[in-house]
Amino acid sequence: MDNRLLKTMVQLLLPFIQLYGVFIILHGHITPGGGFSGGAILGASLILYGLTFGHQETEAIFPEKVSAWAESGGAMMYVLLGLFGLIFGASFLSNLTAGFAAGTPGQILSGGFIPLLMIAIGIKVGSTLMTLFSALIEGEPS
Amino acid sequence: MIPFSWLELFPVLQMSLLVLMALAGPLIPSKGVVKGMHLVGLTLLTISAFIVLNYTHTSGPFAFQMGGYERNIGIELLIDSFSAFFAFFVLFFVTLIHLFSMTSLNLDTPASQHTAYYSLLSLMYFSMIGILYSNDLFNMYVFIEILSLSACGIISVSRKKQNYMAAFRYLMMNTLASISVMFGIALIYMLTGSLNVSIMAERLVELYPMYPVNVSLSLGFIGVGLAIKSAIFPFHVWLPDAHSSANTSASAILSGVIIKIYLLTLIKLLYRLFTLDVVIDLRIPVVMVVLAGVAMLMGSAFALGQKEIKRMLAYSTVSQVGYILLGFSIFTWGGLVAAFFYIVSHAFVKGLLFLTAGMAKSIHGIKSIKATEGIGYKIPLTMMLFTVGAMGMVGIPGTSGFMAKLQLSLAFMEVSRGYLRSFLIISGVINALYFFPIIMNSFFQEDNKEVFKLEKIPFAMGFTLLMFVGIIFALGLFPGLLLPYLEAAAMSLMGS
Amino acid sequence: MKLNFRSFTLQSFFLSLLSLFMMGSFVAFLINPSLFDGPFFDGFRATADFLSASRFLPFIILGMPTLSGFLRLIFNQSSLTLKDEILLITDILIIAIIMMIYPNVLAGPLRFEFNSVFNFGFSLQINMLSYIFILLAAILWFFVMMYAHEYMKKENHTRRFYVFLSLSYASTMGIFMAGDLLTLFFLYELMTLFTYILVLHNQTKNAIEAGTEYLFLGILGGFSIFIALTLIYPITGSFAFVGAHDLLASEGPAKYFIALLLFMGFGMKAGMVPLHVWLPKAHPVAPAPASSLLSGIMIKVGVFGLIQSFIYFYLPDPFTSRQGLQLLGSILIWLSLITMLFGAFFAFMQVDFKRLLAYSSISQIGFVVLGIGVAMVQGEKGGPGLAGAIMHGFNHALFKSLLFMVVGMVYIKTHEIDMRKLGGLRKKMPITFVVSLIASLSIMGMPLFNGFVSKTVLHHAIADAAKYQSSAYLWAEGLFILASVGTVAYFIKMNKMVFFGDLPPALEGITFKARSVYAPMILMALSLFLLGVFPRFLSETMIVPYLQTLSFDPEFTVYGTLNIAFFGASELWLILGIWAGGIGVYVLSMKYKWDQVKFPPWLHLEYLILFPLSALMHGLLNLIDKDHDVMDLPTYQSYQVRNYKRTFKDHLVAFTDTLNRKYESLFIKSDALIYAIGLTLMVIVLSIFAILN
Repeated sequence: MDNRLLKTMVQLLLPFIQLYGVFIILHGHITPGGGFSGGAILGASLILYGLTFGHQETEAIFPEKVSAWAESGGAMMYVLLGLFGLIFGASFLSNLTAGFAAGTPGQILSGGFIPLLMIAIGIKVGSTLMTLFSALIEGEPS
Repeated sequence: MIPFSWLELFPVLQMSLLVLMALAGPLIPSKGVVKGMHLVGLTLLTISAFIVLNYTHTSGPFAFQMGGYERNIGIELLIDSFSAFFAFFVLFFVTLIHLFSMTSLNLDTPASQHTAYYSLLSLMYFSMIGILYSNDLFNMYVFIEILSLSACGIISVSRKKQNYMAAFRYLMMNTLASISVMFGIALIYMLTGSLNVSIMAERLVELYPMYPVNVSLSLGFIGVGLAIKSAIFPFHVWLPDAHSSANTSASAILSGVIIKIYLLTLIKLLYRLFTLDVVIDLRIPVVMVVLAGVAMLMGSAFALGQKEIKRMLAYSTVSQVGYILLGFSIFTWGGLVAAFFYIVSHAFVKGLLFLTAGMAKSIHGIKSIKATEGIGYKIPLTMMLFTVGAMGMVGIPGTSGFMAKLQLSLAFMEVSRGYLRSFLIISGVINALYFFPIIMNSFFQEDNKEVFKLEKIPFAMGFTLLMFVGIIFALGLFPGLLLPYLEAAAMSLMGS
Repeated sequence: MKLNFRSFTLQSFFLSLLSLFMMGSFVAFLINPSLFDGPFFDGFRATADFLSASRFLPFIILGMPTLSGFLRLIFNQSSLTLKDEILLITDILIIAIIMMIYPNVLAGPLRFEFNSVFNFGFSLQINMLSYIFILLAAILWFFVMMYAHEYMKKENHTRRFYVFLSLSYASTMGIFMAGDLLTLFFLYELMTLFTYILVLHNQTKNAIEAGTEYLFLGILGGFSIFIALTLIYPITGSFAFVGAHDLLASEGPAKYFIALLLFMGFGMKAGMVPLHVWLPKAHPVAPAPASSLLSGIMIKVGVFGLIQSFIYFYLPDPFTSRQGLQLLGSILIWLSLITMLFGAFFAFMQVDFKRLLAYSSISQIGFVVLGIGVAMVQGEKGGPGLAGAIMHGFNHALFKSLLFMVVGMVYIKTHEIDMRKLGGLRKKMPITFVVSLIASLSIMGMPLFNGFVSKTVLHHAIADAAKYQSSAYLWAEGLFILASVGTVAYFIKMNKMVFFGDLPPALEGITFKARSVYAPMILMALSLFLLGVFPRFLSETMIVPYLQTLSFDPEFTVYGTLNIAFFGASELWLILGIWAGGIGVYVLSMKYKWDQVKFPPWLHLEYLILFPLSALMHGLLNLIDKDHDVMDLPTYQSYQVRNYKRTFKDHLVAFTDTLNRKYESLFIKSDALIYAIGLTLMVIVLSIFAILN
C-alpha cells in the first residue's frame, strides 16, 4: 500500500509503541501486564510496520534468522534461568532461594529473576506474533 | 541450600534438555547436526531415565517441587517406580524410533519440515514425561495440551491434504477432550481447594461422602476426556485418519506411546486421586469392562473391513486399547501388571507393524491390502518383519503378545472372571483374520512361482527393526526381564 | 560299471546301509545288552552318559534339524545332491544320538529345566514314551528326506519346503520332549505354523483353502489348550506334568471342561471326529513327503498330547476313586469307535487315493485312541490298552508313511490321483508294487506283519474291558472287528485299482527310473515285516518298561502284551474271519456299487457349523443395511456345489464392508455428537451410582 500519510504516521508512532511495550515488559513485576502483554504490543508494532510497508521491508528489518533466534532464544533463556536454580542448590525455577537479588519491592531491579523472565517472554512473544503474521501475508503483493 | 541426592535432579534435567533440544533445532543450519543432536540427547535421556528407575527401586519414590514452593500451591513432580518406569519406556521407545526416522524421514516428509518435525517431537516427549511425573492436576493439564498440539503438528508435517484433515479432526476432538478434563479439574478443585493430587486425595476421603455427585461428575468429565484422548471406542473416531495419514515414524509413536500415556494418566488418577474405594463405589469397574469389551470387538470388526493397511492397523490399535482397559478394569495387582505388560508389548509390536507398513508405503508405494499381492518375493525382509509383528499381535507363543495375553488370562482367573478370557479368544481370532490376508497375499498367492530377492534396508532402519524384533522375542521368552519393574510400578500405584 | 560317487542315489544307498547297520546293532543291543560290554563300547557309553547329563541334549536334538534347515536356507547355490546330503547326514547323527541314550532313558526320565524362560519355566523331558516317539520321528524323517529328493525334483519353492520341513522336524521332536504343558503349547503352536507352510506348498487354490482350514483349526485347537492351561494353573499351581488327579478331582465340573478342551486341542491334531475336517483336504494337496510325515508322525503329536494329559491329569495314582475317569474313558471309546467307522466308511467311498489314505489315517487314529480309552476305563488293568495304542501308533506311522510314499511315486510318474484312471501298474513299477502290497497287508492285519500285532493287542484289550468292566463293551469289540473288516475292504480296493487290472493306454509310456527311492521304501517295508515276525520286540524293549513306570498293574500289563499267543489258533481264526469279511464286502460292493453312495449335501460337518454362522452374518447384514443387494441367504441348492465356505466368507466380507461403508464415515463425521452423547450418558450413570450410595 503506497499511502504516504499512513507511512509517515507509522514511522512517527512506532518508537512510542515499542517504548510502551518495553515499559510493560520491564514493569511486569510491579504493574499489571508483563511479558505476554508487553510482547504482544511489541509484536503488534512490527505487524503495523508490516501492514504499512509490506513484506519485503519487514523482511529487511526483521529477517527470519533474527526471528528464529528471538523465539528459540527467548524460551531457552527461560529454561536456562530455571536451571540456574538447580546450579545454586535450590529447585528448578527457584527465585530468591537460588540467589537472585530480591531488591526493594517497587523498583525495577527487584523481584528476583522475574524481570529477566519477562524480557525473555516478551522477546519470544513479539517475535512469534511477527512470524505468524509473515506466514499469513507471504503471498500477498505488497 | 537443600541437600538431596543429585540423582533426584535428573527428571527436571531431562525435561529441560528436551525443551532445549526442541528450541535449539531451528537455530542449527545443518540438518544432519540436528538429527545427530537429537539422537545423542535422546540416548542420554534414556540412560538417565534408566538410572532414575533403578534409583527409585533402591531408594523409594521422591518428589520434586518446582520453584521450591510448598506442595499446596506449587508444582510437584512425583517420581516413583510407576512414573520412572514408564518414562524410561517412553524414552527408550522413542530413541529407537528416532534412529529409524533419521533415514525414513527423507522418504515421506518434505525436507524443509525435518527440523520442525524433530522439534515438535522433542516437545512431545517433554510433555509425555511431564504428564507421567507431575503430581499436580493443572500441570498435568498443561502438559496434556502441549502433547495434543504437538501431536497435531506431527500429523500434519507431511503436508498433504489428508494430513490436514486428519490433524484438524484430531485437534477438534482433543480440544473437546481437554475442555472436558478442564471441567473435571475445576469441579474437583472447587471441592477440595488444592490442585496437588496427594493433598486432594487426602481431602477427598472425607469430602466424598458429603458431595458424591460432585466427585462423580468430575470423574465423569475427566474420564470421558481422557477416554477420547486414548481412543476408547466410541470416542476413537479421530484415530484412523490420524494414524494412517501420519508419516511412518509418527504413526509408530502415536500408536505406540501417546495413546498409552493417556491411559496411564487415567489409571493414575483413578488410583491416586479418586482412590480405589470411590472408584469401586461408583461402579467404574463395570463401566470399564463394558467399554473394554465393546472396544475389543468393534475395533476388530471395523478393522476387518479396511482396505488400507495403515488404517487397519489403526483400528487394531482401538481394539488393543480394549485389552489394556480390560486388564485395568479388574482393579487387582495382577491385572495392573498384566495391563502394563500389554502396554509395553503392544508398543513394540504395533511399532514394528507400523514401521514395516510405512516402509512398504513410502519406498514401494503399497498402501492398500490388494496391492500386497506377491510383494513377499520383492521385499521379503520387510514382509517377514511384518509377519513377526502380526504373530506378536495374534499372540503366538514365544512373542511378547502371547506372554501379555497369558498374564491377562491368569489375572482374570484370579478374580474368577474367567468369562473375560472369551473376549480375549474371540478378538484374538479376529485379529488373526485381518492380518491373514496381507501375509497370504504377499507370500502365498495362488500359483506364484517367484524366487526371493532380498532387498536392501538402510542400516538405521534395519537396526531399529531388528531391535524391535529382538525385544518382542526377548519379552516373550524371558518376561522376567521386565516383570520386576512392572510389579514395582503396580505396587507403587496401588499402595499409595 | 562306473560308480558315480557324486550321485545322490549312491550316496543315499550308502547312508541307507549305514542306517541298516545302526538299526541292526541297536536291535542287537536291545535284545542282549551284554554283547556290547567290551571296552570298545565304553566310548559310546561315556558319550551317552555325558550327553544325558548335560543340559544341552534336547537342544542338540532340536538344534540339529534347525541348523540343517538354516544351512539349506543359505546354501541354495550348491548342487541338489549336496544340499540334500547335508540334511540326511544330520538326520543320521540324530538317530545315532537317540539310539545311544537308550540305556539312560531306561534308567529314568531325563529332565531339562530352564526356569527363567516364560516366567513359568520351560522344561523338556525324555521318558520312555517320549523316547519311542522321538526314535520313530527320527527314523521316519530320515527315510522321508531320502525319498523327498526324488519327489521334489518336480516341485517349485524347494528351498522353502526343506527349511520348513526341518523346522517341523525340530518342533515335533520338541513336542515329544515337552516337560510341561506350557512348553507343549509353545511348541504345538510353532508346529502348526511350520506344517501349515508345508500343506500350503503348492499354492493352488485347493492348497490355499486346505491350508487355511488347517491353520484355523490348528489355532482353534491351540486356543483350547490355552484355556485349559489357564484353568489348570490356578488349580494345580504349575503347568508341570505331575499327577494332578487329586487336585483336579475335587474341582467338580471344571475337570470335565478341562478334559473337553484338552481333547479338542489334541484331538484336532490327531484327526478325531468331529475335528478331523482338515485331514482329508490337507493330505491330497501337500506334497507326498509332507503327507507321509503329516500322517505318520504329526498326527501322533495329538496322540502323544492326549496320552500325556490323560495320564498326568486324570490317571489317579494309586487307583482309588475312578468314576470320573471311567466316564471320560467310555466317552473316549465311543468317540474313537465313531472315528474308526467313519474313517473306514469314507475311505471306501474315495476314488482319489490320497484322500483314501487320509481317511484311513483318521480310522487308524481311532484305533489308537480306542486303546487310550480302554486304558482309562480299565483303571489299573489299563496297561494293555495303552500298550496297544502306542504300538499301533508306532506301526501306523511306519506303514502309513510308506503308503504315502508309494502313492507319491505313482503320482509323480502318472500325474493321476484318480484311481479309476490307473491300473496294471504292477508291471511298470514292480518294486513299488511289492512295497505297497507289504504295507497294505500290514495295515490289513495280516499275520507276519506288524499291523497284526498291534491290532491283536488292542483287540485283547477291549475284550478284557468287556470282561472286567461292563458288557456294553462287547458292542465295542464288534464294532472294532467291523472297522477292521472295512480296512481290509478298502485296501483291497486301492491296490486292485492301482496295481492290478489293465494298464490304461495313456500310461503306456511311463518309465520308472528313480532308484534312490528304493532304499528307504524297501528298508521300511523290511521293518514292517520284522516287527511282525518278532511281535514282542517293541513291547518288551520299550513299551512295557514305560508302562511299568506308571501305576498300572504290572502283571496284567505283561499278560496283555507279551503273553498273547500271537500265532495261536484263536488269533489266526479271527484274522481269517476278518479277511473273509473284508473280501466279501469288497466283492459285494463292486457288484452293488456300494462305494458310490451319494450323501445329501447337508450332511457335511462343515455345513452344519458354517450354515448357522452364515445365517447369523446374513441377519447382521440385514440389521445394518436393509437394502443391500449383495447377498441372499444361501439356499439349499447352492450348498450342493459345496461352496458354503465361500458363502460364509463372502458374508463376512460383505458384513464388514457394509459396516465400514455405512457406519465408519458416519462415526467419523459425528464426532462431536458422540462426545456429547457419551459424556451425558457417563455423567448420568455416574451420578445415579453416586446418589444411590
